Order: sequence, then structure tokens, then C-alpha cells
Amino acid sequence: MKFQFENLQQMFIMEGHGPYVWTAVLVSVAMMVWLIIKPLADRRAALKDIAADVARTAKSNGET
Amino acid sequence: MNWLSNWSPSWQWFHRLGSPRWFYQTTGRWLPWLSLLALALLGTGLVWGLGFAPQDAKQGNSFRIIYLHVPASFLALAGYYIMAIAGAVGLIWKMKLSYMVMKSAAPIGAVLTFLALFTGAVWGKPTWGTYWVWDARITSMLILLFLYLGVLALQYAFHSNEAGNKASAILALVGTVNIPIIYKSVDWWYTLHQPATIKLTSAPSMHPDMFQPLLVMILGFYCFYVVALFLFTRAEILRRERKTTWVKALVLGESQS
Amino acid sequence: MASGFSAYLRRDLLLAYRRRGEAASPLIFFVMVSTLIPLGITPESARLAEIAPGIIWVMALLATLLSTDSLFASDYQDGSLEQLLISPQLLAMPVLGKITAHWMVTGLPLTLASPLLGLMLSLPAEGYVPMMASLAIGTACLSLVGSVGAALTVSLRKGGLLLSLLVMPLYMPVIIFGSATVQSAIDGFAWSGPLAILGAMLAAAIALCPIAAAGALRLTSIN
Repeated sequence: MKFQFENLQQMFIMEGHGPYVWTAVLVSVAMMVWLIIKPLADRRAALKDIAADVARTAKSNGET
Repeated sequence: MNWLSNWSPSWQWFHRLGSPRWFYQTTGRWLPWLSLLALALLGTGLVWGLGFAPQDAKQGNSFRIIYLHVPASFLALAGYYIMAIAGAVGLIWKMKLSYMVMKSAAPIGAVLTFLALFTGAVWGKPTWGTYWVWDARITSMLILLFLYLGVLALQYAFHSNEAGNKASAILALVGTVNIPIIYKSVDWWYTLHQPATIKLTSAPSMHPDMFQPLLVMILGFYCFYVVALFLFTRAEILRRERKTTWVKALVLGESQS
Repeated sequence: MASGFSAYLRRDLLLAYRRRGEAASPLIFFVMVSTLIPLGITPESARLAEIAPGIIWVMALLATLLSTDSLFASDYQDGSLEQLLISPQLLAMPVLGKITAHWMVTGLPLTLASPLLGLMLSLPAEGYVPMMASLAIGTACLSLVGSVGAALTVSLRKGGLLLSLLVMPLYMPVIIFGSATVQSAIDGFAWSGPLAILGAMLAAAIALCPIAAAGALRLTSIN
């Protein structure tokens, strides 16, 4: 197994195919990152929501 | 379905699996390891595939897109079956968790299908000189994307979660029955209309040096899929189970720590 | 079992007969859109003949899609669907009756009117018989598959557009083999092959779609 390019810059250019390959990589990585971030953000929002809910009921229970 | 529940003790695991609480806690323990594994596999596979695998004799470096395109296509199709099976389990055993898994699988599958189409199109430009051809596999992929979008649209059209779950489970099942028919039809249609100018170079046997990184990437995508599915399902569990005591206890525990 | 089928078939046909104007609109749509094709593409008969099989099939599909929405809608609104759902008999048979009635008021008239369209789009003479045969079988498939979508969306207020999104991907095998039947006849090949596959699809759809539609009705329209 050996590195196929002379240096990193050559790997970026990929003999003219670089733009295609790297576009595919970038878009794939971006969408996959979104697939991870989206549920994490949803989970956080849900936790915050429930915490506010719990606090509210605790407060109203204390008052009555 | 009563006989199922008191059929034998071996069904206990099944019912425990159906408990959102159990799922939330267990996947919470698994997730760090799974994420690490997915990241390691994807990182290795990508560096290996992009930098170290030999280039294709005919297509040159553009062939390296295969390391994203093929795994994404695999998971796009497998994801539809996972979604449909989860929907079927929900319909048959009336399992809440199963519907949550189904609902979570839909956006992941749709994104992966889109990725498969997108990477295919970008790969097509340097290889065949065009972004889009009405090739059998590409067309089938596009129809798969439509099927995913249908399930998503139906899910969100219902105000009641329960009706939306049942409806999209049925649609997913109908789609599953149809997928083989669609694939066969599109295949047949393509042999009828095959344009003479464009020939897809399908490599029946890949060189091991090219194939090994692909295998790593496929495994990595599978792990990634499981991680994403767990994350989506966990968020969904919190939303649906917000009134239960265990979720409230969980929230209190987390705010204190 | 069979009585549920024929009772609903007769009932729906009678209802369609009373609302003749409504029932005719898919057919009018079918004919009207065909005037757009020469205006939009070309009036040249040679080029029209080339695309005629596909165009006629696409339009038949759209016309069927337009009317599928109403398959269960009026029954849902006036409450008779609920009565059907609580009756003890197998739900699939009355549903199949309704689907058959739907085909008889949409697919069948489209099939009978298609030679007119073939004439307007200068379809070659060899294409007429296969076109009518494939449309007769194919539109029945479309009605059956569409019934599942209609059942899923019946309780939604604006189900029409959603219905087309759900059902269109499932229609694709039908349009592939439908237009291929006509095309291969025009090209001088045997057209019984694709037609037989359409027939096989119809058989499978008759067996499966009423059950799926009945299940969908039960699960989503009772809340």
C-alpha cells in the first residue's frame, strides 16, 4: 500500500478530477454531520422543554 | 395477539426491547462506543480510499467517489427495509418504540438516498460527460427517494401521532412489496431503451486493493446508520414520553449533575 | 362475501350515475390535455406519432390520479364509511366493489375514448388495439393501487395532493409496461409479453390492494 499522490496538493487536484471527488466528499460529510447534529439538537430542545415543564408543575404544586 | 404475550418466557426480551425506557438507557451506554467505531471506520476508509487505493485504469481518480456512492446506496435501500420492518412490528404488536424507530428511519434514509443520487451525478460528469442519465439504477434510486418522501409527507400530514404512525407504516409496507417490482420493471425498461452512446462500465471483479477500503467504508456506513438511528429515536422517545416519570427523573438528574 | 362486493359495486355505480357531471371530469381532462400536447410540442404528425404512446399513457395516469381522491371521500363525509367499518363482514370485499365501480367510471371510459386521442395524436394504426388492451388492464391496476393511497389520506382535510405524492412512485411499473405494450406493437414486435406482465400485476393487485386499503381504512379513519 502506498500513497498514490506526490503530495497533498496533488491529492487535492487529482489530475483534474479533484473538484468532482471533493464536492462529493464535502456534501456527503456535511449531510452526515447534519444527520448527527439534528437529533442531538432535538434531544436538547426536548430536555429543556421538559425541564421547564417539571419546574412549572413543581412551582404550582408548591403554591397550592 | 394475547397468546403471543403469554406464549413463552423467551418473549420477555422482545417486550423489554419494546420499552422506550430500556431502549433509551441501553443505547445511551452503547452510543459512545458505536460512534467511536463509526468514526474510526469512516476515517480509515476515506483516507485509504481517497489517498491510498490505486486509481482505476479507465476512470482515473473520479472512481474514488465509489467509496461514498456505493455505501450510501446500500444503506439507502437497507434503510427502507428497516423502516418497513419497524412499521410492521408496530402494526402487529402495537409497539410504540417500533413506530418511533420507523419515524426516525425515514429522514435518515431519505438523506442517504439523496447522497447516493448526488454522488452518482457528480461521478457521472467526468465519467460519462453528463450529470444525469436515465440509467436503470439511477432511476430506481430516484423512485426510492420519492417513496421515502411519501412516507415522510404522510407522517407529518396527520395531526395525531398515532394515526400518522399507522398510516406511514402501511405505506412503507406497500412500498416494500413494490420495490422489487419497481426495480425489475425499471431494469426491463432500461434494456428496452438503452442509449447506445452511454455504456456503464460495471466492474464485475474489483481488485482487492480497491475493494478492501470499500468494505471498510460499507461497514463504517452501517455503524453510522445505527448511530444516527439511535440518536433520532432517542430524541423522539423524549418528545413522546415527556409525561412519564422516568423522563422527568432523567431531566432532574441531568440538571443536577 | 360476494354480496358485499356486488352490493357496493351497484351502489357506487348508481351514485356515479346520479352525479354524471362529476364522473365525466377525468374523461374531459384526458381529452383536453391532449390538445395541449400539439400546442406545446409540435403539430407535426410524424413527431407526434413518436411520442403518442407515452403521452396517452401519462395522461391516462394523471386522469386516474385526479379521480382517485374521491374514492372514499364522500363515504367518509356522510358517515357511511364508518358504518361499513363497524359491520362484521370482511372489509376487503366491499372495498373491492368500490374499486371496481371506480374503474368502471374512470378507467373504462378512458379506454373507450383513447382511440379518439390516438387519432388526434396520429398514433400509428398498429397501436390502437394494444393501446386499448393495455389501458383497460393498466387503469384497473392504477385504480387498485390508488385505493390504498386514497384510504390512507381519506381522513386528511387536504389529502388530494399528498395522495398523488404517495401513489405516483407506485404507479411507475404500470406506466412502463403500459406504454411498452403500445410501443412494441408500433415497432412491429410481439406485444403480448408486456401485456401479460400487466395482467400479472393486475392479478397481484386484486389480491393485495383491497386488503391493504381495508387495513388502512380501519387504522386511520377511526380515531
